[in-house]
Amino acid sequence: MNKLIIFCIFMILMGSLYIILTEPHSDDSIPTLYWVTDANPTRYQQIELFHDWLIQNKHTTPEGNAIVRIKLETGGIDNKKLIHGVSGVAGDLIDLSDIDQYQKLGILEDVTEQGKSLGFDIHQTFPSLKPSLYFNDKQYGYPCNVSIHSCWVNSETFAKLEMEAPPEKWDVETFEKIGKEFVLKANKEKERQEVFFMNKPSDWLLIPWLTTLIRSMGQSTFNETLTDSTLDQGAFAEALRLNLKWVEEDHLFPSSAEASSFNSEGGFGGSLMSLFLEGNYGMITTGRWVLVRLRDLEEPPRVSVSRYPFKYFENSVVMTRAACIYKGSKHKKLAALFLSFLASQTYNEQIVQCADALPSNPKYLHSNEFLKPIHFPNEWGAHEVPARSAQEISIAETKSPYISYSSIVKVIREADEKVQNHISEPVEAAKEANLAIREEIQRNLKHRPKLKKQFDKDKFRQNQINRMKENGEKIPTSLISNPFYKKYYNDKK
Amino acid sequence: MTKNKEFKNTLLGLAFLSPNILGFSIFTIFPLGFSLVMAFSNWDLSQHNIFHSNPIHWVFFDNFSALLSSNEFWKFFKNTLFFMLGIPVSIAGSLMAAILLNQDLKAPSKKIRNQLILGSLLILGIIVTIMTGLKASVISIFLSSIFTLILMGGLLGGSTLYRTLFYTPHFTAGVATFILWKKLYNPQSGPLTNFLQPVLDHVSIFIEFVGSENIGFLKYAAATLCFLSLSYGLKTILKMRKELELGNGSFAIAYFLSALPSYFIVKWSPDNPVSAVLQIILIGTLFYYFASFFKVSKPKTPIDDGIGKAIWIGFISMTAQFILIGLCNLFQNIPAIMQSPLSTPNWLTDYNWAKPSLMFMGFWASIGSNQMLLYLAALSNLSPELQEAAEIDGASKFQKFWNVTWPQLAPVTFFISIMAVIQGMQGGFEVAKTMTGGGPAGATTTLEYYIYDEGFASGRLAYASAISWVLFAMIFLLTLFNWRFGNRFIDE
Amino acid sequence: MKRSKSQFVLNNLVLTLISLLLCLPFIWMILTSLKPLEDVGKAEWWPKIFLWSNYKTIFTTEHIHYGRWYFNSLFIAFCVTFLQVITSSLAAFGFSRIKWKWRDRIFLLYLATMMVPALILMIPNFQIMIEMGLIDSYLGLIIPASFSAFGTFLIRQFMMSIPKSFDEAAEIDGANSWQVFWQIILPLSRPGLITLTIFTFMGNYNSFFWPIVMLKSEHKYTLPIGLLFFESSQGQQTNLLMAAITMSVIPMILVFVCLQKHLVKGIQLGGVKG
Repeated sequence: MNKLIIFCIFMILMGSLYIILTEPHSDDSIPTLYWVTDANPTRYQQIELFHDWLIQNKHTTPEGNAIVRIKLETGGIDNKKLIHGVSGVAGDLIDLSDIDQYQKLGILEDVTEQGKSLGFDIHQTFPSLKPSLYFNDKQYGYPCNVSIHSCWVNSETFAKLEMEAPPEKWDVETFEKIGKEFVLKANKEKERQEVFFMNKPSDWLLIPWLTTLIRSMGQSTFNETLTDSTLDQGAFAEALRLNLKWVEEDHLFPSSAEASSFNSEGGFGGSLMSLFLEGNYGMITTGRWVLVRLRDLEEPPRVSVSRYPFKYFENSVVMTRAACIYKGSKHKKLAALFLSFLASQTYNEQIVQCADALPSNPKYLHSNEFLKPIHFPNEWGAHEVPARSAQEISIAETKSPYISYSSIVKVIREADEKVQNHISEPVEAAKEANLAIREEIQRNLKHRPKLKKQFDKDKFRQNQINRMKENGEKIPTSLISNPFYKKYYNDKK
Repeated sequence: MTKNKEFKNTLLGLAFLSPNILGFSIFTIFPLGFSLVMAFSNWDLSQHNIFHSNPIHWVFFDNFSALLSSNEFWKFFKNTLFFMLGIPVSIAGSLMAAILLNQDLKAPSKKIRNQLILGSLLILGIIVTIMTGLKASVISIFLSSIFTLILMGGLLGGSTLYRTLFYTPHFTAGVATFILWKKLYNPQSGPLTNFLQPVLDHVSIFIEFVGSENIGFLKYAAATLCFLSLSYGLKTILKMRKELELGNGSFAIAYFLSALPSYFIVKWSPDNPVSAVLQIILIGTLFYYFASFFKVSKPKTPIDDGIGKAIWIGFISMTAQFILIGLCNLFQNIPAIMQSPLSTPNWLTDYNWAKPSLMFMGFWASIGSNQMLLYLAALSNLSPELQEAAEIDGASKFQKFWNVTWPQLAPVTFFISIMAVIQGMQGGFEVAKTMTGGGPAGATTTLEYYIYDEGFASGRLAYASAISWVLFAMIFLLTLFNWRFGNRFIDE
Repeated sequence: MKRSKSQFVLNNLVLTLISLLLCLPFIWMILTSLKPLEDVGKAEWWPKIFLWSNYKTIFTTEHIHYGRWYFNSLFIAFCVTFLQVITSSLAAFGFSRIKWKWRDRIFLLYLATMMVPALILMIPNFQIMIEMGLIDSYLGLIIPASFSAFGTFLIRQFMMSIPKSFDEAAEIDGANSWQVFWQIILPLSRPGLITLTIFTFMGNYNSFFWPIVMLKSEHKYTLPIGLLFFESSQGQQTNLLMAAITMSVIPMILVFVCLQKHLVKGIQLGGVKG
């Protein structure tokens, strides 16, 4: 027994020794920033670029080394952003797609002033992103990338059927008409349907898809002041119904059973991309990062891009993953340098080159490298579409201070799942979703007197708006907080 | 014992306890007490953190009343219970495995053993030759070789090899195997889909050949069988009650379990003459046995006599009926299903399939678990006299098991069920987190996952604490219940 | 008892069949880990070419510190097991062999804590870790896991089953409590200690949520987090993922095969009496 214990202690000591010896020795003269982000291999490349950029721009120590270095913090981030943030131990830079949610906790650093002096304020990015980057009129982040979801079309699939690639803009009827024609032609003489117009927008693609449809009917998920859900006002139910119809009646999208019967045929696990390449999908809904995979191919197909279909109000949802500075960080000034790097030419050119979403800074949307990349003539003409969408018709997501964005996403997804699985009718599902959001808002208000006060103020504003609407008056933008209505009322007049 | 000695012993005991109790107080007792107190407050990370210092105030039972009146909680509670339906199945599986392993597996003599090994090698050789001749795939030859290898290992080494192989899935269960199963369940390219799709294709062809309407007629057979299993179950328990094997309470439980499917039949079934007739027959049967229960003479027996058997009979009858109802429904809908060719479901992302898929994986991991080892131990301790006496009486294998073996296993079964219930009530987080994220539409969210969701994702710690303590209360009550009846169950 | 030959052959066949079915996922895992990427989604299980280099790849891929994660997992599990077995057996001795006033009540408290979902303890514990400055450190994973109610319970059950006469005889010989514990009771509870060793080792080797919350640096990850990280960054490459999973499962199987005799005995003794 004694020997065993001595052996164990010996092993533990040896292990500890190994750990101490291999501990990456930290040079205290150069501070380290932790960047909380996703586990994407290109992040390492971006870190190196940042390092070079620092040296180029003379942010160096007297010895000529870069003034700061960055390390990634990636594993399981969703679980710990919140708990680390509120406990004072989060990374110095945090990538967030829902700033308001985290700024509600008060854990982010206000960068409005630094943004102006270091050149990463709102004028250096897409104006429509303002609601996503600001909270109470203060800027809290700068985009790492910007995404516009569109339909990416494999023109060769259409050419084979002697059809023209779909137009840049189309309303729901055109979408249906072209889709039906495509599906009919492509599946002629086939025992069962193997070719679909598009993959079914699901998971996280579902939200921009449904949001665009709802907005195109002149409605939103929330009312003008974000105090109440408006999911039961018809547009949401209609969007859900269309989604179901396009699966079951028009067979534009595969049903879940059909999707799964694409079993062993394709390489790469029969995944979305190979189905797209082999022509099982005429187009796929995705963002610009689809090109990352396409550019790896020896002979990438000719592609074009169409916007999401609309009912009558054209719009596009713009989303961003923004880098923010943690309030508890010890190196806030140095972290701000990173944000200004994100607005720089170096970084934006890298984004343009690696095709990972749109560059954060719209300045670089007009370069030839972006519009006509030399090595990829098959993409020429495609890039203008998302660029135009982002600049002309894009609106940020609608979020409410009274409910967490993740809850909204959950409710919307559940509603679609219920409809697709025939658990509820569209109208019913929309009503249930509306109720679920209302209940959650009430629950949030119950124990937060401050929030309740703000809510009452907003509610008052809402009543004002409602009265104006009844009287047919024009509603001043200053009263509205929902980014959709700001643009909608503005465009409508 | 003198006061002095007692004092000394207390000090001594505490001294031995001190390292453990120190850590235990810091990392378990303190957090527990803290969360209990906080369950009565409005503690919310988004309001109370190092950057925001709003005062925390008491809301007393608000969290609990909000919880118990929220639909979500009950939905996830039902999910948890649904997952727990797998417990009896896995216990039965473990028991079967243990019984098989407990058989004499070593060859009676060296000669026979050698004969068998040679024989199996010979058969393998022939199979491989034929398969190669038939151009069968490498994998089938590979699998048959593995089969022979395991068989030989078993013949040589007795149960050890089997036991190891049975136990491995349980032993390795963790993130690694969850990711493995996620890949197995991949609806596009997973092996499960690859394997089942051709089978389903053949089934489609077969059904088309027979004609889906003709298959549809099988629903009458399923309905009849459903009725038979109900009346057989009820008849058995009534007989047992007459023969004083069951107490009134046990009878009621078994009756309730057997009758449960009928409730759902009435609730779910479509309005058509067939189901109406079935409903009337079922309800009639239920009433008949209910009435005859009052008619038979009922000598006094303890209320919970034979509760173990009662639960088993009830459960088996219930499961059989549910399966048959499912089949009936399936046959009913076959013409509609056959509109498009059959295909495998999206296992983990389909609302109706996600739970069964996870349960199937759970079953895989729990056949050869600690439960099996416990049963093995109990089986080897059975008294041989009783077995022999039963054999002399000419009891059939089943009778021997039911009347001799099963009662002797009662204490183990009791222990296993308590542990499984405790684990089942507070489980499901890791699996759901790594495989489904609690979805689709919350189908795989258990109460434990709900705690995570509220506490770590939304930051409503007070609410999450309240869920934990409600869960604790339920587990505590269940354990008490088990204890109360389980002790009687052991005394049987 | 008569033993019929056919019965015996049948038993063996049935058991072999079930074993094979239970192992199928593992067989698929190993075969897939040897495939080239193009063949991963194919229905054919057998790899056309055996790509043993997949195993080398997972150890050499940039930013996947697989070897280091391996070491971390084993080291942390080892330390926790060592500490937990010591603290648990000490406490179990206090709970079983010495009679004192509050003993059974405190033990009941220990038992009751096992009924509360452990997830809720994590947030207060996390705050404690911050206070102690143990975020992103090995100690932060080792210390909280080193004290367990379950371990104490398990070993207590063993110690309860040792006849009283052993310690009495020793006490008459003039041994003090420590000697009774160290020289008599502990050696006698060996199956229990081994059982606990295996359970604790496995539990911590597989431990998943606490390390996710605690760790920040990539080189400190343990295997489960590493695997999740792998899945999220290179999850398309199923063959590499399967190789990684195979490698992470092997130590568990080895531990089981080596210690299974003791484990079986331990579970059986501990469980039936518990």
